[in-house]
Amino acid sequence: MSALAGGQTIPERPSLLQRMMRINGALRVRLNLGLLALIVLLGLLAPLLPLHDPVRPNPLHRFKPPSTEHPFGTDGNGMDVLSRTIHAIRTDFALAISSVALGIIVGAPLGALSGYFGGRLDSVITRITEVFQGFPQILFGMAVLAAAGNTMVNLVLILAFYNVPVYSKMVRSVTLPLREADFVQAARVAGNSPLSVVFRHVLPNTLVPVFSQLPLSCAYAAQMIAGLSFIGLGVAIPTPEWGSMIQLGANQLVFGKWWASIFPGLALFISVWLLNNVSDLFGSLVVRRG
Amino acid sequence: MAGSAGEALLRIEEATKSFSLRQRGWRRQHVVALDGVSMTLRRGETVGLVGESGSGKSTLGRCVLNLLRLDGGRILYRGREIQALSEREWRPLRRRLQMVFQNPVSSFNPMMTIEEALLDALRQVPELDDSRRRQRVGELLEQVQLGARFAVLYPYEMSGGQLQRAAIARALAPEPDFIFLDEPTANLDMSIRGQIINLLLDLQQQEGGPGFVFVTHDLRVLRYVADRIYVITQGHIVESGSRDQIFHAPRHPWTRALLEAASIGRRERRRDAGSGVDAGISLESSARGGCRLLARCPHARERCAREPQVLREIEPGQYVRCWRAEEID
Amino acid sequence: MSVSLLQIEGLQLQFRVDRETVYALRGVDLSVGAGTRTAIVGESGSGKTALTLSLLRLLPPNAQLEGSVRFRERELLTLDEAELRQVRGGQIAMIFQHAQAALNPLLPVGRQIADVCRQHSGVGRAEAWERAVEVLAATGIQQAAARARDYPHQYSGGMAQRALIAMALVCEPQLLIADEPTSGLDVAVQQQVLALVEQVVARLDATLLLITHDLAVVADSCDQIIVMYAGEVMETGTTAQVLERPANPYTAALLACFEQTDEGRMPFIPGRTPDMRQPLTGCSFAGRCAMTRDICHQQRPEPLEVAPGHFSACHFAQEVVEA
Repeated sequence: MSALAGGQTIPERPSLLQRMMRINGALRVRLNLGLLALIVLLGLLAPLLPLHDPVRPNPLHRFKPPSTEHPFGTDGNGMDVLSRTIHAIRTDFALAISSVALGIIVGAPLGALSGYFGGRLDSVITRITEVFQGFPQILFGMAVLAAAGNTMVNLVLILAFYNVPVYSKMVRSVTLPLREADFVQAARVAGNSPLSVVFRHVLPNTLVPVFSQLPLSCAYAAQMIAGLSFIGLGVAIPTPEWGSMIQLGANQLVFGKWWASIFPGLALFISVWLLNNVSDLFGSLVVRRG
Repeated sequence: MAGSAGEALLRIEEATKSFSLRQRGWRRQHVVALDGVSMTLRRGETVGLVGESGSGKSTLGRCVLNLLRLDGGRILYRGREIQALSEREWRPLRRRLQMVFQNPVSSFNPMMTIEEALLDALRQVPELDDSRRRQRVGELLEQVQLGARFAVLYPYEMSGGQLQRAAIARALAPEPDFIFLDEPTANLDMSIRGQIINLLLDLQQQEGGPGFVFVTHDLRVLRYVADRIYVITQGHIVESGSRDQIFHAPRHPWTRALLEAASIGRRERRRDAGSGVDAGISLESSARGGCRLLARCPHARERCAREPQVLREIEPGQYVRCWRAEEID
Repeated sequence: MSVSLLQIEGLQLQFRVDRETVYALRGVDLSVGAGTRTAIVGESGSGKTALTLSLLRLLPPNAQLEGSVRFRERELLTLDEAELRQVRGGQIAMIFQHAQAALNPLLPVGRQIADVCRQHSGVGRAEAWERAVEVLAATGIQQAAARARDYPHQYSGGMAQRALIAMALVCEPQLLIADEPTSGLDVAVQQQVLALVEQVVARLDATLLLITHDLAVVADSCDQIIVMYAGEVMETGTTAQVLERPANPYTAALLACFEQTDEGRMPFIPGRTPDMRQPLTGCSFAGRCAMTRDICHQQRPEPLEVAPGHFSACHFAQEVVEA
């Protein structure tokens, strides 16, 4: 506590790091976040690590079991599974995060506008997002990728397309009670234009639930990417990606050559699990604070 | 007390506003928040508006600030009707009319520091550049006796009293002509209300400072700051007059009841637990034709039930809505 | 003072929040005499509500409660759930601050009162309903038979508070706790509700514990006053003793804030309440008190008896009362 003149005291300002640590107060959150950070770090550093070239085929070393040379073995193209599993972190996380981010960037403002202004704008935005959500996702993804080309950009757009309504609905529902909040009225009195009220005052206050939903969306997106890649859409073979790796090894599973599928599968499972945990724990923290 | 010029800054004429509540039984219920309320605010003057919760006093402020619209009546600012203005027409007026909310905590954006909140309000002062604005934040915080070091704090790091002073700083930021104070002390403990009241006293001393409309359900705080007081209940003004008239020579039974409730010490025990509007007589039935306070008034006579009461001048500057005002004591 | 109905000793309540401890009650000793009307007066953070919730053990799981609460010589803090439920609503009833929120919005008001009645006295459905209508009528609700079928949202604030009082009445408690029963009600209704509470207490020959922040309410509703500040009892005594000859600087300063003068500035207590996350070494009011000396920061004051039945936890209680 630092003393002020007149016997008043103001609390010591915690650093940003301390504040984050306090938000993540529970040990479990930190543990989950730590492991997740480790995975991301591994992916980021992948090119610097002493690994085999993830995309160089070696027809002489197909489906070699794990060994000191290839700790995770090799796949049907003779590529090193360990190197590919680690490099795939880059692909899968980058795709998942960019698609979710795009979904939020488009969805959150739509939701805030729709919730704050209501009326016809609200009806239009709500109807459109409902139509978005009406399509069966995986079929829609297949159709678009088949028609528009099987590129990563298209994959990101498809996944973002599904995140837009998720976030616009969420932000809309949080905006509705905020519309009458004192500080929003105060912002109007302080001279903010309606748009400035929405973007400077309302939107930032809807981000807490958005951020607690974010890891869950990433987990879901990662699963979708892997799923689409598994059925041969999405990410094409030489590029390291968990879904396509699982697919490539899957038909050899029955012959006992488990390593080509199991390791990327495990990586996907662990990532999704950690993301889900983090999301749950964020959620419970939000509930407790509210 | 400033404002001798007598020029009406703000004039409210016959303001009417009702809200429809959820359905009750078969019919919709309307709650009359304001029913023909007229009042005047002169330059630099502090006017108190006292009434219980739901009496319509906060509604009035929100209408004046264009956050709500009246059903009927006029609001004149410097002689000009300011209702139903477009966003564009309203913008230059907005900085002239400011407001302080009841709950200091919820009236600040939790994601903004005090400095950011004040800068937000200062954006409507175009004649200042960025560095001047920052300087002005410091000056404003000094003016409300907080000190510039509070600028970096978030709302949750401050006490209610400190935040309410910051809210007053925010209202002062665009140099308004008048500030509507909506129960600024209601959420504060009695032991720190004085901080806000004394701050207002200091602000009143300043030359060219704004006028205040101070809305409260607690007459006590008005005793220090108000030049004139309007007593409002059930959407009606029942008495108005100077502070001394209201505190020393209250004429309306309702004003007396308010004063009595606010005083410490043993009061006359003439209250009756079983009677009263609240026990079941609906507001509408007592409103029809007679005095609205009929059911709660200990002085009610048969004539009160027949005649609607009108506001009449009983002393110079003192208006009362009760035909028995002179005889009650 | 008459026989003690409620005896509280060394009551400490702490909440664990994240990794911090919030000290809500810091060792409260008090006794409430049978048949008295006792007010607990305190401002926000004084622990007055924490105290009442502790009595009935209506606390969240992160609360730690220590000390002793004896109600009619029976220790409440060691009762099991079933025994406790008998005491709650049976021997001790409570009227809450926001009446409308304390009623279940999905059930008719009469039904809720009847339910309490059945639980308490085990009478049949029809009889319980009759009883509910009866107590509603007794609290001044007109056409009670019809109003009993209404839902809480159809009641005004004052009527909802009456319904809660009716619910308390039907239990025939020995102790009635009223936590700010008049907050949010308009002045005229406040008076009626307070008068009704007094009436009910008199009729049941019960003891009243009124929790409030408003000294003006206390003045003519209660005969005993307990003043709390920052989780501690500062002063206890009869209403006349405490209001007319306060023996604690906090009480005196608070009373000054309620007094009205025509000229000059409004009194207030500078500074703010102590940080509830820190244990206290000295007097909790030392940081804001006008007569603080060294000892106030070092040693916690013990209650001193300045007059028969008039106690003040201040090192200089005698000086204050003589001032």
